[in-house]
Amino acid sequence: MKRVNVLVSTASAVVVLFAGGIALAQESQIVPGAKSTPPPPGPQRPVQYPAPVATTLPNGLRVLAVRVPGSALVAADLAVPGGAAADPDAMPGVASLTASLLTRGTSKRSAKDIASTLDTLGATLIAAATTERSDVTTDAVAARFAAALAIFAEAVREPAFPADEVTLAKQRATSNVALQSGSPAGLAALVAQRALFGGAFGRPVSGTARSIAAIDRDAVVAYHRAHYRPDGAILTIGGDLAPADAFALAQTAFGSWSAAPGADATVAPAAAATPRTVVVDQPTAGRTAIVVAHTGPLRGASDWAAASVANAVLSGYSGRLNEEIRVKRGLSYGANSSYQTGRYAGSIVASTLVEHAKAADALDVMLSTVASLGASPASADELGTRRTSLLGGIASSVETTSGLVRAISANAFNGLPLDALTSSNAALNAVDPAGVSRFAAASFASAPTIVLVGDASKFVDAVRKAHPGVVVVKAADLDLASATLTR
Amino acid sequence: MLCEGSIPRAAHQFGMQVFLRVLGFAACALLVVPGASSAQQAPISVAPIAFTQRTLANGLRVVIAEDHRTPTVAIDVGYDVGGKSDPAGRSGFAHLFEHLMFKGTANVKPESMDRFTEDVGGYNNAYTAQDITNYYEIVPSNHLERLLWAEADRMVNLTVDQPNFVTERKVVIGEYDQRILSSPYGMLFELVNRAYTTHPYRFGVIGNPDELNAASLANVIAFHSTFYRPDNATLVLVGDLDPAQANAWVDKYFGPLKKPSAAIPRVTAVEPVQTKQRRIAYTSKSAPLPATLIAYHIPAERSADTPALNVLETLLGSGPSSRLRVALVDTGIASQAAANADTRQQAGLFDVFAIANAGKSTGDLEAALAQQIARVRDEPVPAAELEKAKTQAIATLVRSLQTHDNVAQALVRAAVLDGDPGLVNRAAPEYARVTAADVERVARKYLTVANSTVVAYQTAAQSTGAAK
Repeated sequence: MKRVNVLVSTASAVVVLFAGGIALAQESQIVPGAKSTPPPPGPQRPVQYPAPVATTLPNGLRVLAVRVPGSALVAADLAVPGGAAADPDAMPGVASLTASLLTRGTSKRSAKDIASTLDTLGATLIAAATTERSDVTTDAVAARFAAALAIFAEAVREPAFPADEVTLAKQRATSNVALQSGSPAGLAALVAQRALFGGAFGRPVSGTARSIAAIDRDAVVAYHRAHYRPDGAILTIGGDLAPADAFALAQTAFGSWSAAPGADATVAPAAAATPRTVVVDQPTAGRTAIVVAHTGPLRGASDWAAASVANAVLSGYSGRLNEEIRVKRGLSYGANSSYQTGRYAGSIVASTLVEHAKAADALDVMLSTVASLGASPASADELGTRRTSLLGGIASSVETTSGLVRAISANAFNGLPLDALTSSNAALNAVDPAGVSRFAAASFASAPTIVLVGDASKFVDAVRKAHPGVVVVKAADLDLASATLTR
Repeated sequence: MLCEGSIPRAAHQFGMQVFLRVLGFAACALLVVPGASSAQQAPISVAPIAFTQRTLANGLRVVIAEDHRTPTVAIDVGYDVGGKSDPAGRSGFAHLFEHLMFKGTANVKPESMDRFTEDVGGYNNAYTAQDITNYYEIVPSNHLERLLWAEADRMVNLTVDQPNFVTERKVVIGEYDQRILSSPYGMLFELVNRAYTTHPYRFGVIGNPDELNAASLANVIAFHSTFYRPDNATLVLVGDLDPAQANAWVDKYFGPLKKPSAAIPRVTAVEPVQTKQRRIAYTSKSAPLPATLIAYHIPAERSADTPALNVLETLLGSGPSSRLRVALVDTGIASQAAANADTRQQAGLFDVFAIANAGKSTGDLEAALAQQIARVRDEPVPAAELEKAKTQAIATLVRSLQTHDNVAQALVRAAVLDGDPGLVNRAAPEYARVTAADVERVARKYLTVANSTVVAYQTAAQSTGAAK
């Protein structure tokens, strides 16, 4: 049987061998009490990703346009480099606060005016920072998009940062930090990021209650001046419009945008910290969150595809982590692994949530499952199914116009060619079991960063037996602004 | 699959779950001068979802919508059973049962649905809500026939043994721990069920560990034969399919299934009219900030008042210029605030809720929420604000349903809850017809103090010395 179809699973391929036209039609009918076999899949339908067309405005702004025939919506994303990694060292949270304030008043409109104008258009306008970059996004039905883009450009170029709005934004950010830190899973993710990357890339993007309190309007203005600038930024527009029309809209909105003199947008690359095992004692937690983290390749690195497939073998419902933790042992509702990567930093983070008393057992299973990937290679079948799952996930993430625009923007930001959606599919398809093993042996052999957040009294002694170097921090003493985790 | 214990309710219960496409757009329209007055905006015109509907001789309702924009197909099988159908003393059972539907049949091993979906680049899941249990798969479209076979198979051939049952019950109790106990505000949305005194909606969907532990394998077998049958199900197919071929496969795999002769039990309890405000105080060990929720009884989703309630929900809680955002979040009283017209198959709830900012109490939140409710009840909604809310509601319809998955979910929900998948195409025109008088009328009718249930969700710190 020809394996021309990457979406044909091994299970279905076996069935196809026995497919016999009429005979199968009989066997596959459903009759209670009588055996039936599933019918084979039909021939694969082609998957075709649209590729953007690019131009660069005289001010250095890179503009990408992607046509999505039949889309009722037009979406745009502006990515500027910097993000939380460019926050002042003692003041994590500035990039995030700056982004959240873009829509809270411009030289022409109050926060209230912006809000009611957007709602009247039925448009969204969201700005947020991640570790590496800040993104401003909008989408609107096609007939309202030009008007939405005008507000979008005004927010990016001429935010006023009114003092009262800065005060309110700080208050909201402080509450949001408290909400995230209140959940063991949310806190464990923050602690793992901090422990994995000691420096700029370990910072909590939203900051801490203490660091937010220290941020003033000047810090926000300075961040905006240094990092929101056309050179280095990427504007992506997608919808059912010709690239020439998208470029014309970009020119109207951003053609006269210029960088502030003397601004500096340098971002230093990520450096990994020495791996350690950290327990955060949060007695109020309902369950214990466990994270096992390694650094991962950058998006543009040659082993990105192997890392992606290796992570896919670990993750998902039928991935190895969930199989071992949930399906075989019932230790948790689920276990997963996530590979996050970009231009400057990458991480592969396995996580789960368990009863406090089962934390040490679950940690052992997680560690051995991750480590096993190098020693017990994925079979061609296992790899094939996990890979098609990964490819399907990518396909569904770009099913909406705004999802497609975000993916194209991220690829461009990470330095990939314009056809990256399609060429990445090919790269993922080329990964074989040996490639996954090589990657896993090289990357997962090193000691991971381990974080547990929960009621430590119920598991810390058991964890200490296998991990004598464990550092225990009370949740109240935790300071994520510090690479040492405490003040 | 990460099965959901209850649907996290979308902003609109039937309204936003609709797939609509904008018509009449031309590229030149993009070059309109920005800043044109909102009053002069042309209305957003929307194209309905084209679907066919038929009922097989065994009672299975079949809804098919063809759409070739992406080479995938969504298969949804919605059963008219949910949390409200739980056997007495077995709250949480319908949801537990949903998990067991993944445990294999006479023909396939446990977790085969994952093999048929995840392993070919698709996904699958299921959710149990008060009024529906929906199973769905999104797969490359060449796999449609296999999934039809698999759904027909588990409708009639489910096999569950004691070890599987016990293991999955542990998983469901783990889900309760994770969603309700470990989530700082998980219990808030459970407590709202106490707005009901008589109707089984009062038990919620997720149930509780004691009643789940009391469930037996015999309960499972009885539940399957009672509710999992073609005449209690709606099959929805959306996406890259040939309708003639799809219909032929449906006939082949579902056609032979027998319709049992026993009647399907239905919930007939009617919640009595509430005459006095109900108040619930709860102290959360893990919530970092207090929260307050006010719930009001509203009619079933089929009611003619639903479009106005959905527009009211948008006006109060959607977007940065919504009333709750401006009055509670922008002023610093709350970190989050929202409204939800939680319309159901039977009488539902209209909720407003907020999570405080540091230093603000449940009482502060309640006063601010009640003030905004009083405003919509006592003052006419200005024309421009109403138009804004209607535009937002329609734009959200367009935005929320760009995928085969969401279109199928909307169709199956409307079919099971409202008895008519065609409701998805009536939402936008109905929004467009809502008047300020309609909004004021439904606010006066339902958002009254006597009809309200207030949940004051305290933090351990806030309630020190006063906790019960």
